[in-house]
Amino acid sequence: MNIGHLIYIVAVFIFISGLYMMLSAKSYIRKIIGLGIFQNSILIFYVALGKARGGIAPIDVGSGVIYSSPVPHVLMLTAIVVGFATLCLGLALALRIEQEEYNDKQ
Amino acid sequence: MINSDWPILQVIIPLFGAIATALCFQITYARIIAIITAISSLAVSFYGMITLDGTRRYMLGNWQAPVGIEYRLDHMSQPVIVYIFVILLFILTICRKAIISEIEEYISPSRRHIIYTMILLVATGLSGMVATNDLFNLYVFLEIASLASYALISQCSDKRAARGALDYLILGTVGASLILIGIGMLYSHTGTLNIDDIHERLEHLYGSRIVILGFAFFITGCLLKIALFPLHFWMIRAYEFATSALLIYLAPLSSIVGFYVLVRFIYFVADYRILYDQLYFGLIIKCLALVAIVVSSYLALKSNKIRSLIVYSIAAQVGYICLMLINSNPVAIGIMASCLLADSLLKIGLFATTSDRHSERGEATQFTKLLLLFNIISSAGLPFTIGFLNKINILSLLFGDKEYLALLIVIASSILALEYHYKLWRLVKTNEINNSGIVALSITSFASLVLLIMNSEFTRFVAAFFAGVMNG
Amino acid sequence: MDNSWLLKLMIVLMMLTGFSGAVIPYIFSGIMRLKLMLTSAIFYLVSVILLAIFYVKNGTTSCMFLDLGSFNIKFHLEFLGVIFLGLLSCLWCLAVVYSWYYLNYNDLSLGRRPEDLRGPGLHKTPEDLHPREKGATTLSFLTLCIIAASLIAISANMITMFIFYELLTLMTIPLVFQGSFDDLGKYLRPLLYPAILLWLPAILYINYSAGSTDFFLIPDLELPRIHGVALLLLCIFGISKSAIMPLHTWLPAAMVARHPVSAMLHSVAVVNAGLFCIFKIMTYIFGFEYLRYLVGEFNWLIIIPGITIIYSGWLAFKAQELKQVLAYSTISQLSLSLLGIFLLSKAGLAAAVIHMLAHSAAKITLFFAAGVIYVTSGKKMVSDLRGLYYQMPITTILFCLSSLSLVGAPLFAGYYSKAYLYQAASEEDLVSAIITAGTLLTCLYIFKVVYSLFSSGEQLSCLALATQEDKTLESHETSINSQAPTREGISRENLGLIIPTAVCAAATIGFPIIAYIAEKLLGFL
Repeated sequence: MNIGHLIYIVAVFIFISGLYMMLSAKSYIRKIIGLGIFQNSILIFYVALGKARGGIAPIDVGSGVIYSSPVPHVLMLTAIVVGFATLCLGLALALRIEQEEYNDKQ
Repeated sequence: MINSDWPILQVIIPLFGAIATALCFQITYARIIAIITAISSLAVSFYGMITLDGTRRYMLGNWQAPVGIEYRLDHMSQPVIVYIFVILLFILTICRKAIISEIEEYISPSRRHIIYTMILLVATGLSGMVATNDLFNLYVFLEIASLASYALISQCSDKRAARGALDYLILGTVGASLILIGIGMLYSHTGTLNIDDIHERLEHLYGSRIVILGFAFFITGCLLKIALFPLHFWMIRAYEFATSALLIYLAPLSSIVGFYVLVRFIYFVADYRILYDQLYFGLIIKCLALVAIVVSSYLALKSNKIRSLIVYSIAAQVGYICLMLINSNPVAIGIMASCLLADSLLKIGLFATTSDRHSERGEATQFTKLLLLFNIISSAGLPFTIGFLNKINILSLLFGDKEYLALLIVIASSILALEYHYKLWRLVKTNEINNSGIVALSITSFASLVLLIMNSEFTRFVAAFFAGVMNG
Repeated sequence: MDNSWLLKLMIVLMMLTGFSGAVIPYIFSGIMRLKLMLTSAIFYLVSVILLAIFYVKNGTTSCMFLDLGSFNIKFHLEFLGVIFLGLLSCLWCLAVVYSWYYLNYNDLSLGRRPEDLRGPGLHKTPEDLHPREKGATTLSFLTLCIIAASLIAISANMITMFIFYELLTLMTIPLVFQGSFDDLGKYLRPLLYPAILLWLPAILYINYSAGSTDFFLIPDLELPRIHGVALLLLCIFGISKSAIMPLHTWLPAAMVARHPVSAMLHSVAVVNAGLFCIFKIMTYIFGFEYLRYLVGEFNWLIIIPGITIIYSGWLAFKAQELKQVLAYSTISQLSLSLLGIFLLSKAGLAAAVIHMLAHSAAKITLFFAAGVIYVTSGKKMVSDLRGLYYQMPITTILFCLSSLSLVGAPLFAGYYSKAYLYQAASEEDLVSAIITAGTLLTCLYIFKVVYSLFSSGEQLSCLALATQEDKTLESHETSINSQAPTREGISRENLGLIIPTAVCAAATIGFPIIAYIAEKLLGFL
């Protein structure tokens, strides 16, 4: 357990807080926010995987340099898009539910 | 072109069809495009199934295997893809009126065509999940299918469906995220995302705790997707208020593809021997399955609505199938496949014709009632139907393995199953039986009879395939 | 086997004639329905006779119908099955005629001629909005039940027997269901659950240890004795159609069905199917020597039917409704038959089979007569039957003939069957005592009914009772008019009701011939 593992501990912490928010929140909006936080922890985890020891950011500056792996970055781009779409859909559904409740109260 | 590219075509055609339906603003054009897409993808996948010889690998963009994304079609995946497209065509043609009357009515006219987009996106996602040989590609298609199905579930005349869809969204995303974490952990130790490559590299790595954790996360995510107890709550909530036309489409397919992914993981990514013998995954899933059977049967008995009764019945069937899954005997996998197929056919029939509304019109025709009774008898496991054959196969397999506790629980749950199917019959008789589902019901009843007669060949075929996989 | 294809052909022929009988009621109605169903029943009988001839010439053959992996559907012919088939097909011909006349009694008695009973739109009174459908379900499902029972008769392995056993239960559901689901549950639960809970695990265990569930594989299984005893008890109590206590409750609950159903199914087809299953399992799967080894010195098996005989006899005596009396009487007689086979000897088996046949003939006549009484005068309770002799002499005489057979009076069928039973139980005093007690109880309860049938001086109160019953019965089941009930004669509507009853009663008298044939067949043992 060295200092390099700190990032993973942070990721776990964010994972747990996102999960807790989802499970304990009463309002749907909070649950969706918790979901977003939960998915963000995974992003951090993956991107942290790609860092090579002594590697620089994966931007081409020539040869003879150690690069960190760009693959997790690419994968996480997809995951970010997916998270974004989930957030939108969740908010739309939450809006629909609120509208129904508002209509019911009328 | 078809000969060389059909593996990718069968996934791409629904995708482009979805985009096309999103772009056309006339509802009739959307329907026509959807049907054309369904027919062509079915044709391509069927062609693929016929010409399939062994395993077919397809490299996307000609990037070679461990680096690029690879599709792998074999005798396990191609029939599932064909089944997906059959059900897609089925729902687009035969349940057309149901979609129109139950869903489209309640959406504003300028957006009605989006429904077909969603339906085709689900088909894309599911077929991509089945065809791919790359773990991250699996996750992407999983999310495509899931997001589209969340949107679909919320479309219903009953406004409470939105709540069910939101619950489904949250739990489903959690499941997909767990799968993603599992993939990440495996990637961190093997450095590759290709299933075959991971399988090779994992041979030396089974001692590592990260790898075991990766397995645990992935399998938990899959268990959430197949709705095994205690992760079945999304199914209860989501399916309760959804439209029956869409449930015919989503329920059986998500179940089958969920099991497909689990089987693919256990047998092709990880080594099933390690999972079952050293890591006790088999024991855990068996306990969960037994609890699932008992609890679902009990809750089915206590529920008073038709829809929730059927959903609990699905949950109980998932328990039986999981019992067969963890048994590493190839014959057990064959029985599992037969159970899955039979269950999906029967539930299609049940969802198509039953609804929770009380009868306003007169009684349904005798023929509908007879078919529905046959369906319920089949699902309950009474002779001389496919449900009964599956049940005695399960029982004799458990007997042969000397699993006496599981045997006892399955027999006791058969009695409970009889009870709640009896209750289902009582409820169905007083509620409305939808005559429009009669075509769906007859087709699925006929298909279940065919499955009954061909059962031994089917089971033997699947068992032979898995014997090959397990040995080599 | 060379001839298995021929056997397959003949079995398919038998099933086809049966299924035609199931389809006919939905296509035809009126007198055409009767004629065509009678024709199909006669064809069915002919195909059974052909099967019997095939059996006599070729001995036991088997043929496979469907291979379902580790289980398969196989049929074969052997003497127990052929006897049961013969019983079913003969009685079915008579039951067809009886059922049609029973179901159409109202129309006939209101003056329509049989030839006039055709499709809808004939007479536009409210009762006959759907005359075509009256009784179609009943006749059709009765046929299906007979087919299921015959397929039990020719089953070659336990799983086939189990499948058709359960199918038989399912086919009887529309016949017994009279609008209340709770009653149906009371009927179905004692039938379905023991089979799944008790019999099915026994079948699976035998399949696992012996490799298959075929008969004619008397297993030298080397099982521990406790396993054998457990298997035996599981099979016996799992086959609840044989109405052993405490799994007998379905039979009184089934009496809500109409009389043709009770007569054909619940005294002939269903209960004899239960007996037949036990006979076959004990004879072929276990074998008498193994069974004698299992029970040890004192044959404690006989206690099971012994309790049933006595207790159900007592319940029959106490019962108030005629059909309940007959139901408990059936339970009692079935256990007499079981007592015969539990003697674990060939003589016992012979006695049990002959008793099964004799009881079927007698009981079906009793139910037919009860049906005639119900449909002409609407009487259900034993207390209402007083002095019925003076109104309906023919039916009463037939009732008495068959009750004499039930008791075991000499020259009747029951006498021969009881004689064989006593003969088989010659060493065992306890068994003879039980048989005697059972016979005494039978006398008690059946002569209670007969006495009230013949009791005189109550004609006027009969009249009063008849007109009172008017208002309390469902209108579509009776045709009571407020005139004085006339003395029964053979009229157009009664023809079809009386004749089958008379034929069955004659069968109980003419039984010695049948018994002789049966014993010759049993000589094949």
